[in-house]
Amino acid sequence: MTHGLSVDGFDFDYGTYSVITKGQLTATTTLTKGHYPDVTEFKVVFIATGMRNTYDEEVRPYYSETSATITMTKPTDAGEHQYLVLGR
Amino acid sequence: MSYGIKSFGLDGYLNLHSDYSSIVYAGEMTKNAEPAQPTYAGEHAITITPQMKRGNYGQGWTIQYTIDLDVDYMIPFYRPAFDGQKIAIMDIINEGATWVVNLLYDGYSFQYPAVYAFAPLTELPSVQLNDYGIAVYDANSDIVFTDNMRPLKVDDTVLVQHDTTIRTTGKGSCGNDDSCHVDFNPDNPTTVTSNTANTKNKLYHIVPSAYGGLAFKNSWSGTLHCGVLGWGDRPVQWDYYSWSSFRGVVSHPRGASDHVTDYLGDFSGALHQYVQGDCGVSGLVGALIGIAGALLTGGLSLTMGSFIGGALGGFALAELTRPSQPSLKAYEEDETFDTANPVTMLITDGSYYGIPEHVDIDLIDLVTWEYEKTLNPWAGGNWTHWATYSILQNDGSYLPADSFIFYDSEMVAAGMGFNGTSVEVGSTIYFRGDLVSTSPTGTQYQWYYYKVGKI
Repeated sequence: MTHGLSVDGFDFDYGTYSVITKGQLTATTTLTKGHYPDVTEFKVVFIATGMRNTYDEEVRPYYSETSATITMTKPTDAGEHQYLVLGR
Repeated sequence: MSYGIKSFGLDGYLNLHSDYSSIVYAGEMTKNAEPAQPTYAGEHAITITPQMKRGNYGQGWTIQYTIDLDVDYMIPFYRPAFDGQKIAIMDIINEGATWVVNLLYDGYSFQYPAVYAFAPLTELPSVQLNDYGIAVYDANSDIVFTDNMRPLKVDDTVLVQHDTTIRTTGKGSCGNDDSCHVDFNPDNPTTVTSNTANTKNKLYHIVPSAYGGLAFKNSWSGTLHCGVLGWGDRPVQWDYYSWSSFRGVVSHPRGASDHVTDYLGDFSGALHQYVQGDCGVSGLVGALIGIAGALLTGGLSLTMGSFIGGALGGFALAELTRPSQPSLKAYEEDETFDTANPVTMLITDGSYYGIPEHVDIDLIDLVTWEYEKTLNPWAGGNWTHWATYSILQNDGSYLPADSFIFYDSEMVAAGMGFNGTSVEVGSTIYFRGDLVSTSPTGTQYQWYYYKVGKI
């Protein structure tokens, strides 16, 4: 291992995501990438905090990404969700 | 970052930063209730056998896992129980210090996947540190890294999106028949490719968004002549209705880097009603037709609560200690929902966290073989075997015919064909074992007696 992180003889040389930010999802949540200069790549994980109500045609939240921002959207017919923005 | 520590990997990506918490393996979730395969069991219900659930309705098993973990955020990863298993995490529920995951899978009931919980290190109520090594804290004095807990190492991320069509081919048809079932099996998988190959030890996190349903309706009303001994006509009406509700699932064939999206049923139902009036009395059908007629004209939606309550008694209340809800909406017509946006799937490997290597369950290894064929049961004997027979033809050859299974002197199954090797009866699977004896040749029927096993 030339550089990076080695733990107990195991080299973490790729893709150990950390939690950049987290919270309860509102209608629109925007993250500005420039606030996290050490992070090259972002992923968003949504955690439904209750049972899905398919009878009401519930939909999941989704996110979109540009070079500058990540926008997380909770449609009006989406249930309650948490979000975790992971980065590396 | 004005102080602290950060580390980057060989790929240039950040893998440790004292401002950001690592995500760590927090333990394996445990099965909280026996797997369930719920079907509608209300008025006019037609029996759907376990074989039909899989063969006609494309239905999987719903199961629930829990873990006592006092954190506000948790990411579940699953590991398939066998190559190509279809799986969907349906719900992730936080109940205080307990997390609940409802999951849908295919295969046999006991082939449920393993589920592992990961959580931000800062969320864990207590963290054991090594007497040596490294521990990193953030500005709030929350621990964000320790060499005693390996952080989540993601091998790849993939965007997964389900097709809007569950089944492309016809379903078949049923009429005035309370034993008929059409074919709802999904047949429209799609494939997405990642950069890492699927192995026995890969773990996957994805909560597919897509769901939907397929439905079939048929009905007829009219009059039938009462015949020479009757008088006039008899009013008649029948309704047939069946459906299967589906969730989007994903499978991960080993040895390849493909991930296959598909659908798997989580709830199905079929009902049939036939009513007729008396000869010579017209206009009676409207009063006689009850539930089935109402269902077909929208009454189902309006009475969802009471209608489904009975059907789900064993599903939501008894077998699962915490409520779960099958996809109930989409069974009045063919529909899919929430297929517009892709969902991110994370892939990691259990070996990074010391999770023991996965061993597939071979069904045959679970079987205990039995064989008894002394006196026949009607003479007080005990029969436990799998018997097949063939029939003597005019040319002296034998034509393979059919088979029976006797277990503890009860005939538990028949009609598997001459070459059948397994059959499901209720929640039991019977297997044909080694050949033990045959009947003499030259008689009308040639019998073959095999060991039989069940699980």
